[in-house]
Amino acid sequence: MKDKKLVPTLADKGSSFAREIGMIVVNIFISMVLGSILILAQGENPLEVYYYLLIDPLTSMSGILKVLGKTTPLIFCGLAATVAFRCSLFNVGIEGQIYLGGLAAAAVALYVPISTPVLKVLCCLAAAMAVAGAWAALAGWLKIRFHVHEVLSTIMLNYVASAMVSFLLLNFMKEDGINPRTNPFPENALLPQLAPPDQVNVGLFLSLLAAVVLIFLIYRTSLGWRIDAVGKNMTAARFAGISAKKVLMAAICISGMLGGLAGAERVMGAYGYMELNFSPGYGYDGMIVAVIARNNPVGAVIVGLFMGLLHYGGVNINMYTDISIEWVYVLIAVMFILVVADSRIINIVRRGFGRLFRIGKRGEGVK
Amino acid sequence: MSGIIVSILSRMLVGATPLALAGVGGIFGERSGVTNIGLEGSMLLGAFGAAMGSYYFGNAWMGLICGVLIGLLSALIHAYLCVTVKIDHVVSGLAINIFATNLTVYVLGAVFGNKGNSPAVATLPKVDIPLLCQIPVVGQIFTNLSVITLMVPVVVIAAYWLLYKFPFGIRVLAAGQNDQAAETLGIDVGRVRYASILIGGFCCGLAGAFLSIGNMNMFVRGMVSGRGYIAIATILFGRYNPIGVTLAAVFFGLVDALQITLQGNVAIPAEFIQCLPYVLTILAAVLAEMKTRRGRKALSAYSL
Repeated sequence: MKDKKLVPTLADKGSSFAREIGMIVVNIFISMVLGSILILAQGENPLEVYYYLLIDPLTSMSGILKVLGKTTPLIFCGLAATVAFRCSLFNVGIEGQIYLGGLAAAAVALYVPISTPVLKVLCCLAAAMAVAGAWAALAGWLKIRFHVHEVLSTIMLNYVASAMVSFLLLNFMKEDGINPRTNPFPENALLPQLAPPDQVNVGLFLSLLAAVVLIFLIYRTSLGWRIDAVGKNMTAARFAGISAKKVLMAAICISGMLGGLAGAERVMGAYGYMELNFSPGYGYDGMIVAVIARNNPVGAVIVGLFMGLLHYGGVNINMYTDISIEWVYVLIAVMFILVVADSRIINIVRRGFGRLFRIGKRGEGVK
Repeated sequence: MSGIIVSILSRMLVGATPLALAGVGGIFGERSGVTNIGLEGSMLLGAFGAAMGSYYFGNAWMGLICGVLIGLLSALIHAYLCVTVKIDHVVSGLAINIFATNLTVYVLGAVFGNKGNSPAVATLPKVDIPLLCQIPVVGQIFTNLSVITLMVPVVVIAAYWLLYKFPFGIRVLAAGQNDQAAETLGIDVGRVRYASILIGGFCCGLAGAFLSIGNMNMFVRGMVSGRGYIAIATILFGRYNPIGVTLAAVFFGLVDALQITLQGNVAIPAEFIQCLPYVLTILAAVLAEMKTRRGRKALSAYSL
C-alpha cells in the first residue's frame, strides 16, 4: 500500500524539511488557483479578492489585531488536533471539549469565591482543562475498552456535550433576559484584553505558552516520543514494551485539555461571559490546521496564524466584494485535501500531462 | 393513545428511510475495505443537488436524478482520494464532510442570496399503500408515504442479492477480507472499491433527496444533522449485512420518532431526549463490539 517511489517525483528532491514546507506552499497556491475558478464564476476579480483576503488585513494595526483576535482558538485547537494526530487518533470531539471547557471555566468564574485574580484565572483554566480532558478520556476509554472508533464516539459526544451544556446553562446559569448566556464574569476572572474593543487578549500568549510546552513534550520527553511511536506503528510500539493504552489515553486527554483551554480563553478573554454555541467550528478548524501543518506543533502555530488571517480576510472580503465567507471555508477545505494528498495529486497530474504531451524522462515507466 | 403510537410509527418510517438507504449503500464501501465517514457530506450534497434540480427543472423527478448524480460525484471524489491518491480514508471522509457543509452554504448564498434555506421547490409524491392503508387503526401508518420510502425495501433486497448472490458482491467481500489475496485471484481491487463506493454514493444521493424533496420541500442548511454518522452506526450495529442494517435503521428511526414525540410531553428535559439518538449510537457501537468479542479473543495479543 506504500507509494511506489520507483520514479523520482517532484517531491523527492532536496532535503526533507524544505521539501515538506515547499509542498505545503505549492499545495496552498494550487488551491488558491482553484478557488479563483469559483470567484470567476461569480463574476468577480480573483486578484482583488485575494488582495482583500490576504494583504488588506495586514496593512493596518487594527487589521492585524483583528487577525490575532481570531488566531488564539485556532492555535489551541490546532495544537489539540496535532497531539491527537501524532498518536493516530482522530479527535473530532474538540468542538464538544471547547464547550465543556468554556462552561467549566464559567462555573468557576461565577460561583467559586476566590479573590486573587491570578489564582482565580488559574482555577478557571484548570477546571476547563479537567472537564474537557475527562470528556476526551471518555472517548479514549470507549476506544480502548470497546474498540469504538474515536471518530464515531467523539462526534456523538459532541452532540451530547452540546445538549448537556445547553441544559446546564439555560437552567442553572442563565442571566435574566432572552439571551442564552451567563452573567458577565467578575473582573478577577477575566483574561485582560490587549487592545479593546478587539478580542485579542492575554489568551494569545497562553496559546503560545501551550505551544512551547507541547513542543517540549513532543520532542524532549519520553511521553512525546512514545506518542509518536504508538502513532506510527502501534504493534511495533507494543512489542517494544510501550503501553499503548496509557499512551493513547494520555494523548487524547492532552488533546481534550487543549480544547478546553480554547473554550476557556474565549469565554474569559474574548467575551467575558459564556454563551451557547459560541464556537463557529473551531474544533474542525483545529483539525485542518494540524493537517496543513503536517502534525508539527511549530507549524500548528504558523498555520494557525495563517488561518486566522484567512478567517478575518473572509470577513473583509464580504465587506468589499460579493463573495461570501463560505467561499473561504471551501478554499480551506480544498487546501486541506491537497496538503493531505501531499505530492500525490500533483504527481498524478504531472504524469497525466506527461503522457498527454509525451514529456518526461526517457525510460520513465508509464503506468 | 393509539393516535400517539400511530404517529410514532409513522415518524419512525420517515426517520428510518434516510438511515437505511445511506447505511445499506455504505455497506458496500466498508465491505470492500474503504472506511467512509463522508456519508454525511454525500447526503448533504445529495439533498442540495435534489433541491437545486427540482428548482431548475421545476420537476421533482429531475431533482431526484440530480440528487443521485451529485451523490455519485461526491462518492467519486472519496473513491479517487482513497483508492488512487491513497490518503487516509478517515481524513478523506472528513474532508468531504467539511467541503460539503461549506460548499452548500456558499452556493445557497451565491444563487439565492439566502444562506439558511432554498426557496420551496417541487416535491416527490406521497402515496398510500392500497390495501394496507385500509386496516382500521394501523392503516394510518401506510398513508402518505414518500415514494423514496417505498423504494427502501427494493434497495435493501437488491443490495442483499448483489452482495451475496452476484459475482460482484463476492468480489467486494473478497477485496475487503484480504485485498492482496483477491489480487492474486485476478480481482481488480481498485475497480471493485470504486464501484462499491459509488453504490454508496448512489444510495446517499437517494437518502439526501428524501430529506430535501421527499420529506420536505426545500433544502435547509445543515439538514442532515448527524444522520450520516448514525448511518455508520447502523452499519456497525447491523453487522455489515443489508437486512441487519435496515433493522438497525428502523430502530434508530424509532428512537428519533420517540425523541420528537416525547419532547415537551414528558417531564424529562428536552435536551436529554435530544441526546438519545447519539447516546444510543455509541451504545450500538459498544454492543456491536461485544457481540464479536468472542471471535476476537484469539487476536487479543495484537489488539488493544
